[in-house]
Amino acid sequence: MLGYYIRLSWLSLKKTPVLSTLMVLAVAVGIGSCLTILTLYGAVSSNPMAHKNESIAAIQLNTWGDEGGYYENNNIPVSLTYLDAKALYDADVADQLVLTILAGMAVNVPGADQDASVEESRVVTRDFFDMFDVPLIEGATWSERADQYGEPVAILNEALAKKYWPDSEAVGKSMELEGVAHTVVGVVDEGWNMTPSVYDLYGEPFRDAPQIYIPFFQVAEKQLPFWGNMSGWKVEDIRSHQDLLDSELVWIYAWAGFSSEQNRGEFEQFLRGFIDQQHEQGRYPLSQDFYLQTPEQWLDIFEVVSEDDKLLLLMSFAFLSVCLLNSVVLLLAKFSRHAPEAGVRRALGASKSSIFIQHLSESLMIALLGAALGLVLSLLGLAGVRQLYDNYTGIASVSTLTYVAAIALALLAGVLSGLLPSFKISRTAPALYLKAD
Amino acid sequence: MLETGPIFRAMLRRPAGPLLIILQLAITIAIVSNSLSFIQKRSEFINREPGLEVEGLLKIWAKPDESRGNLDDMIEEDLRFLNDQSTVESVIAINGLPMGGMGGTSGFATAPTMDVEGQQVLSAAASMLSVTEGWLETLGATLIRGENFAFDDYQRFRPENNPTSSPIIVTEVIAEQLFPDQNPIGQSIYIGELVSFTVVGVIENMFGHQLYWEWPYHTVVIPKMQLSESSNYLIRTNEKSEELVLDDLVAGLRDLSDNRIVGDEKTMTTIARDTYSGEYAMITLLSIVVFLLIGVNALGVVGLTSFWISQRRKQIGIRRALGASRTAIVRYFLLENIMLVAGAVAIGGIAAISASIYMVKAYGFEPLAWFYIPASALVVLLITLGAAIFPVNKASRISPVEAVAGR
Repeated sequence: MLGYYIRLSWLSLKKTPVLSTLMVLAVAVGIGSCLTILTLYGAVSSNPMAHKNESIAAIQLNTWGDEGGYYENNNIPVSLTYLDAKALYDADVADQLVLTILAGMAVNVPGADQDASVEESRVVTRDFFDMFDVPLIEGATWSERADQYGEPVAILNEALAKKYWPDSEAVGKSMELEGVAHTVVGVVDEGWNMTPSVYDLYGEPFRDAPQIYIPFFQVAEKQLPFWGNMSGWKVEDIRSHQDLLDSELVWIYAWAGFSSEQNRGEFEQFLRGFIDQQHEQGRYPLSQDFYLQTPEQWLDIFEVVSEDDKLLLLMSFAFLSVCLLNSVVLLLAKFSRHAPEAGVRRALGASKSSIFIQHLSESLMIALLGAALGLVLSLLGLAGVRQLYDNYTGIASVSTLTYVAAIALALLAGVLSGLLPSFKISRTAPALYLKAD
Repeated sequence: MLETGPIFRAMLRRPAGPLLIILQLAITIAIVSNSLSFIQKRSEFINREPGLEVEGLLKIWAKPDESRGNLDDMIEEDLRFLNDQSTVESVIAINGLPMGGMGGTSGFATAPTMDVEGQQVLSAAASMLSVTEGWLETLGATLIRGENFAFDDYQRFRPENNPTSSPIIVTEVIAEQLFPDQNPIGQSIYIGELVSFTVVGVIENMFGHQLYWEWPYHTVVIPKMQLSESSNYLIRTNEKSEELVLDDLVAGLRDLSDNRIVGDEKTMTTIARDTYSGEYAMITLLSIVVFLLIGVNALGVVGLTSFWISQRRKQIGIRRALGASRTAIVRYFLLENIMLVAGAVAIGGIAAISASIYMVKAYGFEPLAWFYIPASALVVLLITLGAAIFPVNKASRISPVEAVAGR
């Protein structure tokens, strides 16, 4: 039966080649643009830490002393002062504690024939790798001791490791970072890049993967070339690195990971006590609150999905609806010419529902052809998007979502556009056409 | 005489087709009017006056090798080298980068503390640019009051020797905000009790680092530069081939000594383009949406009109046989199209305004200006008429004999 309907549909489409082509083209353009935007939106709005949404949290401490509140995000500082970051680390209450900043480290390997260069470097505590599931292909995370004392060790991105040591293991080698010799202890899989980069969403959530990772507490010794955002509410005379460490400036992103609800409870209790104690000493002048934000909430706070993304999504669906209405109108017109034929089929015993299905399968066929062509168009569309947005290079590409959406949109388009025309023709009264013809 | 009555009654007899096409055109009008309005707003945003000469301005970033170099010496040496190049008109070192999104921002007030008795203390947040000599020519900024810094004002400091006072040049908006109805020249402004500045000049409004915050023209310039770990150079050139000049200069700096890392070279045009890349992308995408919509509607109208005509060949033939002229036939079908568009304008106008109201509420976009609705209605009318004209013209050639006898 299905084969029969498919053949009938195909014959009917071939009878009006121009109209059929127009319909397929219109559906293809609609589905193609919708797929392009959906793919993009899917990537932009994804939460790569969804599986740990309940067990890790970004830490917000409200140290702000200006009545206006922190000027961005949710009006609470999104990063911590060094004083607070160090205190949280030293207290060692949460099962995992990640402190992180971004730095641009000058890299030089004495004796290598590569020019010195500056690389995006993530300055992190060792829990970072575990918490954010960073796959190490060589070596391992640095030791707790190295973590505490900010020893000169480094973990490299595979790409950078290969650049300097194409033929051998990088682990155990030495490289100068900002003029200081570091020992390579691990290598991160080149393919790993978290988008959006939940661990640090400031400025560019679709950044490239870090090239170098070094222990956070190197900042205790000296100023690293800081590439993040440093904000303050207080006029402070900062002349030395120690002044910076002792200041109320916020610049460090902090995450806590919990293995149990009990651990989370302990951490919250610790924070409450810590803030009260700091308040007594004159810090936290306005409010003494803190917040533990899930990755999901963090993505919201940084508005990773922009208003423009939402607008484009809206536009693409409105556009698709125009294309579908277009199909409905054309099918209506086309089917109205089939009335005599349908009348004869009805007279020969075909039921209303088989006439309905016959015509619906024609609209489904148009939608499927349109979706197939639309999928090709979305490849072009995504290539175009990569041209337009430098930072979307890694994410604007066909994903499983694209294929699933293509099938869903095809079925939706076929049914929506064919429903009314097929229904109308299935109600053809046979008698009228028997007489007329 | 116009056949609006018969056309209307004919539509009423089979309302589904006309209603759906009206709906299709209405949504088109809603999308096109909102898109055109967005495109216009984004273009205005991009085309704001930067207050500096973007063309012919180049940026190079350099950093001394920690173990071997000293930033102050490096800047000295590099500026001398760059100044000597025939392609270079002028060059400065600068902390912060106009339009580049990076740099220091601070609050400036007319008194060291905010509560002074009997005096109203005014304040403003501003992007801070610290520069070396030659910054006016290099940036292409315009001094409108007062004087430029004196030669001795230009100094470079390690953070531990941060100065507690300095001359300062501010933009017009800053001068107006801090010293309304007063001569700003010679006045003092403060960063708390930390630093005091004396206003020596006012420049025309010029962009600071941030183009996306509330106050893009809140910019101040100081001649005292804090040395951190690296520096930006801005270079003015008269050469047309900016990229080539840039490559040459970078190569020259690298040859100068291998005690430094030189890179991140960009023309200011590229920097501005990158900063606005989201805007450009939206303009392009929305233009594509409008363009494709026009295409889809045109396809639809061609298909539909052809079908209606072939359905009505007999009717047309009879009308022709009864004496209707070819123009009368053409007029009938075009009138039909105009009526559909009229219906669509009514619904589409309402849809466009509601969509706009929704987006104003949900996303904080600016409301739609009314004239975009008639403008897009006109666009839609032109498409439908343009698309209908071919099949209609063919219809008018239907011979009366063929149509009546041929079936």
